[in-house]
Amino acid sequence: MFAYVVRRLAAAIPVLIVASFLAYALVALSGDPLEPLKLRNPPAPPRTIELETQRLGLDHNIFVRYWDWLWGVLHGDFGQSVQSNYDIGANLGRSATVTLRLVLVAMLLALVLAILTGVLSAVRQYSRFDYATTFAGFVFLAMPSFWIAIVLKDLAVRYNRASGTTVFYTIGETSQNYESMSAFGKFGDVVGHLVLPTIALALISYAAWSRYQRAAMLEVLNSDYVRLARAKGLTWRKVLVRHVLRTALIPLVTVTALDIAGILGGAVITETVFNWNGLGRMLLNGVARADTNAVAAWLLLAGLVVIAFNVIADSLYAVLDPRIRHE
Amino acid sequence: MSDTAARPVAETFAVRERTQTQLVVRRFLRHRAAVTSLAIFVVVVLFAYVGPLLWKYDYTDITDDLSQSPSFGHPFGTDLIGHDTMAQVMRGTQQSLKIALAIALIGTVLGALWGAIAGLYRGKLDFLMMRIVDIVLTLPTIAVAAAVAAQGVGGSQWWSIAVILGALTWPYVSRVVRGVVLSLREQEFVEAARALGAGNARIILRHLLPNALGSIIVVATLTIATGILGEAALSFLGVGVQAPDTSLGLLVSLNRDAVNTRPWLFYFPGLFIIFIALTINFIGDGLRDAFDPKQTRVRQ
Repeated sequence: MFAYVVRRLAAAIPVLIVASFLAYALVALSGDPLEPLKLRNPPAPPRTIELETQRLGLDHNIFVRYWDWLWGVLHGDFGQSVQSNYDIGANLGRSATVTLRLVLVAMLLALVLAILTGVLSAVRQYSRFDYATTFAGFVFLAMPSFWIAIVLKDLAVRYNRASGTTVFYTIGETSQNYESMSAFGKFGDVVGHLVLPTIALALISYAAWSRYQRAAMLEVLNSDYVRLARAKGLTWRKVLVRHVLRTALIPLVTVTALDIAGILGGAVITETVFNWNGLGRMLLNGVARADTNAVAAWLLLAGLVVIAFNVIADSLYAVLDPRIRHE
Repeated sequence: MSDTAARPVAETFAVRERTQTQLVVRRFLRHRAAVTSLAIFVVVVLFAYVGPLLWKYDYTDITDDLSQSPSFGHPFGTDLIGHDTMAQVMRGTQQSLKIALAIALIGTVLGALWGAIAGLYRGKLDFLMMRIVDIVLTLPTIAVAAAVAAQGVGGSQWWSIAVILGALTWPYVSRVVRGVVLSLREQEFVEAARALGAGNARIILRHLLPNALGSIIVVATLTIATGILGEAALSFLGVGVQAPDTSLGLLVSLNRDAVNTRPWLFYFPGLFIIFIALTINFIGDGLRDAFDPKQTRVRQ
């Protein structure tokens, strides 16, 4: 298994390098970071523009720039940002811990809910529960993530106002006085701020995943080996958990891994609604300034996360399906 | 009864011959949610494209009614400077639909060709083409689209957003089409075509793609729904459709702070996004069932 994981990671390196080059070239070629300086009134002195061009390495061609950037990243130096005194590496690290917290908790919530709903609506197919969750799933799938987030936020604000307390936190990833809190208080504060964005982000994935889980469960439930297991006298519960659910989890693992990139994108939007200072703000700030080094570093991290989850998914296949063994 | 008895036996029990298309249409019409959705979707399209011709206000008109809640004169209310919200939603729906359809068209044509070529040739070419698909899928669509769209490439016209999102959508389509083509290419009719001297281009365009049409139509339909949500997300981040033009996503985004004070500004355009995406997903679901030859009248 360990050898397999290492091999998969090694195979992912070329994909990651090409993807990061594409991302780098796209951002670098689509915008000019010095445009604000050049269009400034009164115009910036030519010497300033020249110095900025050199500082950002804009006088080199795209391949040289990418190579310099990649070499730096591999040595822990994420390069110069368009904003002076902005440490891309430090900001990426801090934002990532904030955002990945949200992404992981939301994924966990979506998975647990999706499995529960999928199993129940497959076991009780065409029941009222099945119809209700199916319809709710379709509605969630049709909702833009920012719409869900804004509506949730509005409901929370109304509730807070009506009750005169702050039950739900609607702004930021932590409170203003976070640094002065005790360790326990800090934990509570983080969890409190996570609640609404997590629900907003989880709902859409939940909708899609519960559909997949239901379909997979139905397929397995109608298979011969389940009938055999029942015929041999196994209890319904044992058949359901050991034989049906275990097999029916395989498609969900695939879909979850495929959706990671989409969830990261969703997190950008959710964070914007709830004014978080995470990866979302970092990306939008970088994008607005045509900050190639910052945006490329962001996309490289996103690519790494996606690949990591795909490797985890592949390893999970072996756990769920005894026929798959990664020798 | 007597009428039936009078007919020759062969005619009574004969099954009328139906073409593939007739079968698909019949199966689709039995899917109640899909048919209802199709009707609603047609109404929304008419609202967006015919509505502005009949409605007294244009989306650029500034009326004297400021911040009015919905009334007979302004069914969807008005905004802070007196725009009629219904006229704006009409224009927004128009633009959003146009962008979503263009995304679906670009994504489907590119993806279908890409998937069919990879599936037919297999081997090294397939491996290379699918790694390119992996590369695109590794990057979050919204992030890449925002990075490119923010630089105002193509002057932030509606089609530039469609091209950017379409260029990030095709990998999903190509995976589906490749899967179908991999099984089709082993069938006898492809062998027969080859024996008759058909080249690869002819096999792809005349044999593989038409036979994969069911899957392609289904995935294309679902692409419209993701397209409309993608446009809305980009406009929400401020890098999609730009004022003075408008779209449903932009309308929701501009009015997000009004959700509490003037909810009609926020909810009407949002409901249209949901209606469109919801009906299209149901239509896609109906098409999937309709194109599936294993589908029988009795559901197992």
